[in-house]
Amino acid sequence: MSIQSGRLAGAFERLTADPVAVAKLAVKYMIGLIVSIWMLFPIYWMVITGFKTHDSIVEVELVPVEITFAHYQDLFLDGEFHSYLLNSAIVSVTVVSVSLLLAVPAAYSLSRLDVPAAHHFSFYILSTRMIPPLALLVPLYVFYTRIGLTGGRLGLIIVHFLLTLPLMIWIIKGFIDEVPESLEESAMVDGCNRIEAFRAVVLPLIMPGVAAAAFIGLIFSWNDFQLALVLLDGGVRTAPLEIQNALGYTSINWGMLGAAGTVTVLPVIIISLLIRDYLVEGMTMGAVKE
Amino acid sequence: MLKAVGASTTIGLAGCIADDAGDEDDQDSIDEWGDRLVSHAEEADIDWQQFEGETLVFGMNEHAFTDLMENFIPHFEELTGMDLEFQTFPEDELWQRVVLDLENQSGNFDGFFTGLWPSADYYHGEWVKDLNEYLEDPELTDQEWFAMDDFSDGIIDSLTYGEEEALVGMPFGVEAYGAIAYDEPTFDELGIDPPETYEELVEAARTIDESDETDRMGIASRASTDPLSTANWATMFRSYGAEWIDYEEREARLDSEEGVESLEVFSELMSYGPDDIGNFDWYRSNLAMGEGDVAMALHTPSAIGVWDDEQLERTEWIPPLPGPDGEQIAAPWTWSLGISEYSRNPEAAWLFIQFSISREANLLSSIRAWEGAESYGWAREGYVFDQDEWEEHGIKDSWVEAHTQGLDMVPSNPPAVPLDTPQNMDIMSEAALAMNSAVTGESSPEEALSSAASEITEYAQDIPEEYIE
Amino acid sequence: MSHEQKAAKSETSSREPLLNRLDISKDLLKWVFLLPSVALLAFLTLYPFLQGIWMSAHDWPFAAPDHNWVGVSQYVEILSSDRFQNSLWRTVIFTGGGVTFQLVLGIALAVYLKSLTETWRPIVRTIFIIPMVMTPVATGLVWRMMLDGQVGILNVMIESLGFSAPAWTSSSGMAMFTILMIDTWQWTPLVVLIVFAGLLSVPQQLYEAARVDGAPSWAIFWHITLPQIKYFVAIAAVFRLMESFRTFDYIWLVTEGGPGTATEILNVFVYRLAFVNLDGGAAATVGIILLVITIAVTMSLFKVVDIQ
Repeated sequence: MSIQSGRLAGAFERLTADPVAVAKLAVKYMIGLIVSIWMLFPIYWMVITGFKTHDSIVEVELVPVEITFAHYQDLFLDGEFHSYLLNSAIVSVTVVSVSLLLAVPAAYSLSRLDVPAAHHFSFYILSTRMIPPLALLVPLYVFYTRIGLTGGRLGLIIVHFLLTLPLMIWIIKGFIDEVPESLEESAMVDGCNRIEAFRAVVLPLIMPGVAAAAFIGLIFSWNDFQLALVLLDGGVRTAPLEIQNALGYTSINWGMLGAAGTVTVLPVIIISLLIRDYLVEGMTMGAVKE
Repeated sequence: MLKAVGASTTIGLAGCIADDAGDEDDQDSIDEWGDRLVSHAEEADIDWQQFEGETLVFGMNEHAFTDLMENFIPHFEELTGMDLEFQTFPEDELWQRVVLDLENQSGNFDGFFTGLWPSADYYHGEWVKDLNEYLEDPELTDQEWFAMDDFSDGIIDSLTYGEEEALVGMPFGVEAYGAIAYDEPTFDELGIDPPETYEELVEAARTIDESDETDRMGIASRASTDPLSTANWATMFRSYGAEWIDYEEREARLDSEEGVESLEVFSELMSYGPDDIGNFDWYRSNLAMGEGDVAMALHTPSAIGVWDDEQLERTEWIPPLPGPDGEQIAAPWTWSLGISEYSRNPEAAWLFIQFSISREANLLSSIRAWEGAESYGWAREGYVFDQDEWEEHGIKDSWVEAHTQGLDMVPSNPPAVPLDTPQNMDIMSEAALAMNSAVTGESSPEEALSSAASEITEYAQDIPEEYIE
Repeated sequence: MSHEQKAAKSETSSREPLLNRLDISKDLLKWVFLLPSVALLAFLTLYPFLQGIWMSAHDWPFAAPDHNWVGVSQYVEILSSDRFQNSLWRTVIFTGGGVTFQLVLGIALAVYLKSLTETWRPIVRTIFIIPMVMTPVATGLVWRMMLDGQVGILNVMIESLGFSAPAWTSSSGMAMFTILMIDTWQWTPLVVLIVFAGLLSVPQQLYEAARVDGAPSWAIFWHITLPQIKYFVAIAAVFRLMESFRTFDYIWLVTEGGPGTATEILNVFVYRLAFVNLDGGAAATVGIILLVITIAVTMSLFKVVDIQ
């Protein structure tokens, strides 16, 4: 008891001793709170809408009194949302995995291997990301139809490289640039060839960056709507496409939207939580500075 | 899944019915009607099995008709020995996919939903088959059974183009826009009489909106920037005596005095409605009236297909009102099924069209055949309204009046909107921008219409010679 | 295992992976590593790009049997049209204004994040990631729902505070504000994360030295922090710019480019031309113009910040 009151007394003293500091702290937490609410509220709204009854939606209840699993039922039991999620997953995971296999060497060569006009190549690679898909939707469709890429997942996978490769190469190259060449050189002096040196020395150091790049690639592929719309025929659908189906005839099916949106965003959030540490280190390029 | 979504949205929209999203459509009714459709089909003097083994893909809109017909795919398949697949998309997406499919001659879709307004464009692009070919082929059609006379001439005309009089779509649903739906109890409470002119309509809307005795706002209509949303205003516009273009001079005429006046009145009318009226598309307009947020709607009678019973009960209908000079013109819309020029099985697709728009089928589409079903149809005007089921269905007389009189007000020449030219969608999308600008207060009706006029004149000049009569 | 051990191992082991034994020259290697990616990207973009240019030089309505050559005149016509110029202006506001705002806000929030204690930081950081990973279609529809006149929570909350709810999408000013709000919500986190990484990489000594010299915090920020993170801010800016020009999904879902053409940025204009007007030539033309603008802006940013 006395220890507690002692603590309280101490806290009280600190409070009164430096009210400005306390105020600053309070403001700090307030900012954090406001920003967090701002970021999270739409997500909260989407998630609970997925559980709301129709009446609850129309009455705009902040916290639903009654919840229902009907929308999830619609998605998974009556519908086939799990297969759409699967399609999205197959496409995204394949694209990102293969992109890694292509991007890491490409980034390495641009960074280390004295490619002539390297910055031109870099820029060209990045510029492919700048093409507005809408503008080229028709030529894209024509081209892919002629070479038989439309219709199924394979075609979409190939086209998705457009979304993932440029950014991934760019990000990974940035990380490789940060690793001093001296590290590899000493490895090679010891008898490794280039590739070995890369694998043994550089790769572990840029792992976080690679993870970050992969994650970003995953986000773009998973969330893609426009390309999937054009390149998949009606038989195969990915999750984002299906979300748009909430636009029904009678009205917009908000409940289904809430459920579909939640289910679509959940895997990505889970992944981001799992690799959170990598993401942090990945973003912390400074940690690799000598 | 789509069926469930459709059913659940219907029931969900009903509001008063407890939330049981995902209710099964009444299986017994489906079976009963399925049998009726099949036995009716068998009365036709054609061989339904002639394309046995073929596969068909139809591009469908997220729509009541689709939800309904999906139930009968198995019946059709059994009748014909064919394989039928619906690929269903929200409207925007459907347009996109159909355009891509046709532009690239892929033939992924054998048949699809066609709307009235873009039909001339589809015809011009040689994208669709001439259905008359199949109608006149005795192997494919039993003309007596199919009874083309049920359809109004005006509607069939509007879907017919060119010297060869090609029919580009078979309509299953027809609607006239610009009718007035009003909530009778509200009118009684406030002591308002049903309006007989647009001035009275504005008065009524104002009274309701400003009144403390009711929570409802005055009126709602479609005012979004989607070209199809111009339909209600188009009815007013033409009834005020304005014209969209001068066909011969190939110039815009919508910024005439009459045109400006109609938009001024329309904007004023909309000001007695919801604040975000500029976003009002088909869904929002239905929802506003269906949920009782507004006391009136300037809309199409066909919207009732998705209302709940309670609001249906309370609503009375008035056909489109006359303009200042007593003219009454209504803008129409149809949903039809068309066949792709690049289909590998166009004749087979025609069989499905006959099946789904046969007399029995269209009757079924027009009534709420079972609890939770939606309705959309009434294309076979000469047939549906005479049937017993229609009597039993108990739709109000005022609705039937509004619907049929509205359709009578649809002009053929010139049509209510320039749908007889391939440039129709271009022209009406400029018109929609102008309408939306004026209604949201972005610009004055006059400014909005004159800036639309310069764009529209350019489009009008592109109209190919053969479309100017 | 240290690299010495590994090197030793490779000399003695006879079962090493093939690549380690191959004595590939640096010259060959660089192409082997680089070309697959470049080839793949070229394959995917070259034909559509060339076809796009071809279409932009023709009168190419989708539903017409023939396409006439018009050469450069389509560009001239479009560039001088009011509609295009309006669209360009909207793009300047949305992308220029939006990205700038997001950069400023992002930097501020990154600084804030850095000032948090170790316990709070990971939590807040996780929260920040979430808007970024929502699929834009869902973002558009959720915000549309929240802003809806009938079922929207925002209006309810505002009205319960006693204010009248603004017409979120019914006036051009508000509509632009609304889509900027959504864009900011979704993408500021990306800026925050990138800049935050930059902040962490600033050597502590610089700060200590400045503090020892008694510099006020704003001066520290302005003269030390900002220049150090210049590179990261630029990266964030490039990412955001590239994406901002391509925005479509939630703009279309929330405003459809309206009211009128108030939120019709170039990318939305392209969509309308292609799928409402069915005018392939015009759509391709605006698309190419948009591409040129994007490249020009990005390139100049590179030059300014001197990234290679």
